[in-house]
Amino acid sequence: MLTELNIRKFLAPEIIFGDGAIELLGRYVRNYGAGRVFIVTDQGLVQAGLLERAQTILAAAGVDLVVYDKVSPNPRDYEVMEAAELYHQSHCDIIIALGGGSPMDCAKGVSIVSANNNHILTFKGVDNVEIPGPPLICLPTTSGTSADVSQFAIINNTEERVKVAIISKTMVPDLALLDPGLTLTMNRDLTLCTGMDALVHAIEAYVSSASSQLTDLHALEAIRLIQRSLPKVLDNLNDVELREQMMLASLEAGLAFSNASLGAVHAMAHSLGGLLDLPHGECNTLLLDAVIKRNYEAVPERYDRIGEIFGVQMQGIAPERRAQAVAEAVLSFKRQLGFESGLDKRGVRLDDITLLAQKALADPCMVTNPRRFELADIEAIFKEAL
Amino acid sequence: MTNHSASGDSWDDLKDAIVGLGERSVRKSYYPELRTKIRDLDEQRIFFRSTLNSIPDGVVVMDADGVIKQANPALCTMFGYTPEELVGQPQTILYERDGEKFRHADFPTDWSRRFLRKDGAAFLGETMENEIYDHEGKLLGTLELIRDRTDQLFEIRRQRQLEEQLRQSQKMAAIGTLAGGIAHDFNNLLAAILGYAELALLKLPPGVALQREIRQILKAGGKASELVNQILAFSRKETTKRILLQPGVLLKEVIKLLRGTIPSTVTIQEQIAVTDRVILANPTQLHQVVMNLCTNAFHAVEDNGGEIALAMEIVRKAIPASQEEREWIKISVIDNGCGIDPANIDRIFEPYFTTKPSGKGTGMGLAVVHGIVENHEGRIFVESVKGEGTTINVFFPVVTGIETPQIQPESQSLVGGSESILVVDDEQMVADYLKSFLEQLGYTITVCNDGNAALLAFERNPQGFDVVITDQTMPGKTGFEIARTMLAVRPELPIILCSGYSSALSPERVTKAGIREFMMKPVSLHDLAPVIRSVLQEEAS
Repeated sequence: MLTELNIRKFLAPEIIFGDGAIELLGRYVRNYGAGRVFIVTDQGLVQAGLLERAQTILAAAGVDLVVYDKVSPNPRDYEVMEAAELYHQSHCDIIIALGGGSPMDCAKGVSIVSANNNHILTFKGVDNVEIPGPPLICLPTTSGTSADVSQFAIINNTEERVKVAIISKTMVPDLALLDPGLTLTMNRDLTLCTGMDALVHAIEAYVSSASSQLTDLHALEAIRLIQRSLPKVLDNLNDVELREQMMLASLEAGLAFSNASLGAVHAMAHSLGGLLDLPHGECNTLLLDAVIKRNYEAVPERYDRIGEIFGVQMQGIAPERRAQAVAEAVLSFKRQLGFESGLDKRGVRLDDITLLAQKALADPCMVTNPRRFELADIEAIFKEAL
Repeated sequence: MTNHSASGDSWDDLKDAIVGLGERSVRKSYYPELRTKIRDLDEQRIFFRSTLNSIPDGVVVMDADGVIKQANPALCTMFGYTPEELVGQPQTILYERDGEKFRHADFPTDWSRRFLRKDGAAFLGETMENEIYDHEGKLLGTLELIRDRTDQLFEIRRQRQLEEQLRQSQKMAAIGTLAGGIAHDFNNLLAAILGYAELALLKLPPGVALQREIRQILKAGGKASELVNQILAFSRKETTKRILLQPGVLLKEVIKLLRGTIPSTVTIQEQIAVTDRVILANPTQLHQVVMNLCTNAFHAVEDNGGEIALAMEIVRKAIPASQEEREWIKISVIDNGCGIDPANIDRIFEPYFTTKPSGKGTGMGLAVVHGIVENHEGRIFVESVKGEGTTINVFFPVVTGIETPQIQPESQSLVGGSESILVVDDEQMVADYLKSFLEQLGYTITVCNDGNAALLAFERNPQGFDVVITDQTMPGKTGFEIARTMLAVRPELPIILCSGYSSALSPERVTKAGIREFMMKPVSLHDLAPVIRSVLQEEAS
C-alpha cells in the first residue's frame, strides 16, 4: 500500500570503499567487540591467498578466528546449517564473509540461523527473521552480486532442487568493506558474469514498480558505469582503476535493487539456476533481452533511457519498434563482450519450461516487475531465450 | 508463492515488505534483544541481591585474594560497618586478632570463632566458609556465612549456672531431710530428758545439793534443744508463726545491738531504705538471720579491723529459679574482710561446715540462715573475693495488699490456773511430766495415751475440759484428727497441738481447723504456761 502511495525506504550498510580497504578489517572487528571471528569463504579464495591475507590482518589485531571454507557456488542449505553449527560450537560472536555472492549468502544464513536457532529454510520469503544475527562484515571479491549491501540471501534447497530467496532487512550487513583490489583475482569469465549480473540488478531496479528517485540515481549511474567499463576491464583484468569502476557500479546497482527490488529476470533466473546450477550472472544475462521486450510497454520511458545509455537514439525510432531496439542494444552489448546466448546450449529443454515458469511466477522478485505476468507470458519468454 | 508469512496478504502488502516497508521490515538492530537481555540481567541482579540481602545471617564474599567484594545488610548490622567501608578491605578486618586463643567446649574452632566489630567489641560467631568457582572451575573467591552466637553463649552460661544452683539446692535439701529426721527422734528424747529434769528440780526441796547437777542437765539439755531447733530451722521442717513486718525496724535493732558489742576497730555502716513494704516472716528467725550474717561479717574483719555495712532496699527483678519479676526486700550484709576461698564457697551453707577455729563456730550458722531464708520463700546469694571481702544478699518477697499488724509483745510469766486440762500423748514419759508440771501450776489434769481414749473421755463429758493439749504424731488417730472431732462438738474449745516433726501440718492449716496454738517439741514448760493462759483468756473474752 505504502509503495503505491509513493512512500519509499532507503537502507544501506556502513560502506568503506577503496583500494586497500581490507586493511581496516582489524579495526572494525575490534570496534564490534569481537571475541572470536567466524570467517565464511570458499576454496577459490583460499587458493587465491585472500583468506591468508585476511587472517594476517586479524592476527595483527589480536583476534581469534574460525574458518568455514566449504561454501560451494550457489550455497546449499546443509552447508549453511553445517557452518552455523561450527559457528555455535566455536563460540564465535561476529561473522566475516569473504568472497562472492555464495560465501556472503551463506554467511547471512549462518547469522540468522545462529540467532534464531531454526533451520535456514524456515526463513524463506519476506520478513521471516525474528531476531537479527550477530554483526556481519562483507568483504566481496567480485563486483556483481551486491550481497554485501542487500537484504537478500539465495539458498539452494537441495531436496526440492530450487533456490529459495530469503528477504529480510535484518540481513543487510553491518559493514560492506569494498576493496577493488580483491576483485583482481577474478578471471575473464567470472568478471563477465558478475558484471552482467550487476547490469541486470541496475536495469531491474530502475524499471521496478517500487523504484524511487533515490534508487533511480544509483541504478542509472550503475548502468552507465557498466556500459562504459565492463568491456574495458575484460580486456584489462589487472587494471585496478577499471576494477574500481566496476565495483562502484556493482555497489550502486546493489543500493538500487536492495531498496527497489528486482523483477522478472531475477525471478526466472532463480528458477533456472535451481534447475541447472548455472552461475547466477549467466542466467540473468541469458534472459535479460527477452524480458525487456515483454516489459517495455509497462515503463517505455525508462527502457528508452536505458536504450539511450547503450547508444540508441530513441527519438528517431517509432514507438512500436522501440522495445525491440532496446532489447537489441542489450543483446548487441552481450555479443560485444563475447557472451553466447541460448538456453538450449546450457541444456534447457522445451519440457522444462512449464516447471521453470511455475517456479519463476512464485518468486518474490516477480512482485516488483513493472508488468504483471501470467504463466503463459513467462513460458513465452523462456521459449524465446531457448 | 514461497512467501508463507504473507500468504493471503495482498500483492501490495508483499511489495511493501520486499522494499522494506512492511510491518515487520525492521533493520537489523540489537536494541530490542539487548534491552531484553539487560532487563533479564537486571532482574537476575535484583533477584540475587534481594536474596543475599534477605539472608538473616551475615554473608560476606571475598575475591581469591581474600579482599571483601560484597557484604549483606545482616553482616553490616552485625559488625557495624557500611557496605562501602567493607568493600576492598581484607577479610581479616572481621576477625579478632588473637581470636584463635578462644576455647569453649560448646563452640569448637572448626565452626566458631571470635569476630571483631567496628567499635572494637569482639563477639562469638558461628562460621561457614565455602569457595566459589565459575563454570570452568576457576576459583573466584570465597563466601563466608557468619551467625552471631552471643545470645547462645549467654544462654549456655545461664543454663550452667541454673544447673549448678539446682545441684546445690538438691544437695541442701538432701542434707536437710537427713538432719530433720535425726532431729525429730532426738527431740522426743530431749523432751523426756528436759521434762524429767524440770520435774526433779521442782520436786527437790530448795537448797538441796542435787539441784546444781539437775540444773546442769537442764542447761545442757537446753543447749541440745537449741541445736535441734537450729537443725530443724535449717531443714525447713520447723513451722513457726509468721507475721507481716517491716524489716527496717528489726535491722536497726540489730545494728544497735552490734554497736554495743563490736569493738571500735570495726565500723558499722547503715543504709536502710525507708519503705512501707512488708514481708511475711518470723521476727525471731529474721533476727537470727541478720545476727548470724553480721556475726560472720564481724569474724571476717575481726583480726585486721574493717567495715561492716548493713543495707536494705526495695528491688524489682526476676531472680534465678523464680524467674518472674516481682518486688523484693533486699538485705545486704557487706564486709571488707578476709573473703571466702573460692573452693569453699559452694559449701558454706552445709551444716557443720566451718572454717573457724574449733570452739568459735558450730558450722550451723549459715545452714540455719539458708534454711530460714528458703523457708520464707526468699533467696540468698554470696559474692566474695578472697582478701577483699564478702557480700551476702538476702531477698525476701514483698507481700502486697495486707495491712501491717502490730508485733505482739511476748509474755514471759509463768502463770498457773485451776482449769481442767486434757493431755494427750502416746509417750507415757512425756505425758507424765506434763501432768506433774501442770498440776504443780494448779491445773486439773487428765491424761490419755491415744486418740481414741481421748475422744472417749471427751465424749463422756464434753464440757469437762477447759483446754486440750495434744501431741500430733500418735498411733491411731493423730492430734489433728482428734482436735477436729472435738471442735466439731465444741468449736470454742481451746486446743494446743504439739509436734516434733510434721511436714503435713502447716500453721495455716492448723489455724484454719480452729486449733488455737501450735507448738514445736520439745515444749518448754516455761513456754507452755503462758500459752495456756493466753488461750484461756481468749476464750473468756
